[in-house]
Amino acid sequence: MTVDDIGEDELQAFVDGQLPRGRSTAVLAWLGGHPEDVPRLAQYALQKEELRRSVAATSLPGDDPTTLQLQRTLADRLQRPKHGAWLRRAATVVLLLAAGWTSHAFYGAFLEHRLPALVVEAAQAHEVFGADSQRPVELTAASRTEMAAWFSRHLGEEIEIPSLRAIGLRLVGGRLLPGEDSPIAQLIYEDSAQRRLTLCLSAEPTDAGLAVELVEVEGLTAGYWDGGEVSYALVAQTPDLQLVAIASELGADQPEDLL
Amino acid sequence: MTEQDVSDQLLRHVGGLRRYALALTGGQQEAEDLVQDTLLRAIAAAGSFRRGGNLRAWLFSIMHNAFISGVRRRGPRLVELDDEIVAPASGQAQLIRLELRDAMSALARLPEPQRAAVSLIALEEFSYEEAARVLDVPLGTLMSRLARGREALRQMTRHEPRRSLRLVEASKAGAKR
Repeated sequence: MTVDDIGEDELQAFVDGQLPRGRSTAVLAWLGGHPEDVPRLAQYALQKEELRRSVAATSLPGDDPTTLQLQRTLADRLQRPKHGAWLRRAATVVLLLAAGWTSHAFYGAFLEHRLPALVVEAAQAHEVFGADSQRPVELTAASRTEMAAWFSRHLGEEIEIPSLRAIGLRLVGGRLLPGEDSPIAQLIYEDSAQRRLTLCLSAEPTDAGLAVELVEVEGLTAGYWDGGEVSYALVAQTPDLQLVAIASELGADQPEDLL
Repeated sequence: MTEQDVSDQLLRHVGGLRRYALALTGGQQEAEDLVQDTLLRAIAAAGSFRRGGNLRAWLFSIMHNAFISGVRRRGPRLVELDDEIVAPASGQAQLIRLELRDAMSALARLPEPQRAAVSLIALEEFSYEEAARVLDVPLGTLMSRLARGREALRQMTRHEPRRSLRLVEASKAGAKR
């Protein structure tokens, strides 16, 4: 009988038990004629065992409270598949105010507009961390300078923590989010009735310009703009005008066609 | 999927993610951070997960992307192993501890693409097709990374053949099914 030629891929698959049905015999026959390859494959198999034991011995026990909390939140999200649907729609949603109401602009915006990642993440962060007044924050408002330094270091830009006291909003705290392409600083503010507002800052431009652009999705209003080195996204359950007012407080221009 | 199903599956997969994170980063705290980063991204992307889809492969892809973008952000760094793994011990225990350190530190010295391929296959028993999907590379690329990674690991650890041989015997009794 002639022995099939066996390539490296099949030798690897032999080690991993991933050979297609019926190929083991062919590989064994080939190894019979190539004894010099046998120790190498045996060492690969041994290597697998060693790696597994090594990683198992080093792995943390899995009781980190933050991890467990995130795990529960994710389980919850996966059971409610509709839940994330609005964000996908948000990615193509119209900028009603900024785009104006002519049908041409409407469809153009609908088809072409994609929300910057910062806005999608800010909305999600607001839902996950901001909307619930019971949920603790990682960086408390007490350590404002520390927070500013921490954000500046991670975002790679000088970050100031804006005060919104003048318009009755108290800083609750903040956290650093991984972001799609670069880290995002999330700040949470609260009014006297404990309604929360999320402000996200990123060093990635959103291409929105200096004037705030508004989006409304299922009860949440989001506004975003670029302010020089840092771009901003605001999310809250609040009327447009209110959001524009807060954005102006933070230095954004008003949208041209607001009124 | 029922509520219990999803929670159970997640519990299992997070264990796997933690191992993969450890293999990728080489440090316990870095690994836990990467697991959290991954879960956070998964929460944000939960709407894009197809019902009945491959949850494990989905989570591992997210982790891989999170790791890659983290490396780009922070730049590559030298991996240091935690001290307690190599804490002094005696006899067989010490031998095993040294061996463990060798396996992890050898893995840490592989280029990231090879480390990822070897980890998915050797640690988590992904099928080749699944692993290629997780890493978003063609099957042929995965296979060559796997082969090169394994060979590099072998070259790194081959200078002490006797120790390895003793450990096979020691581990086989307990670890073989």
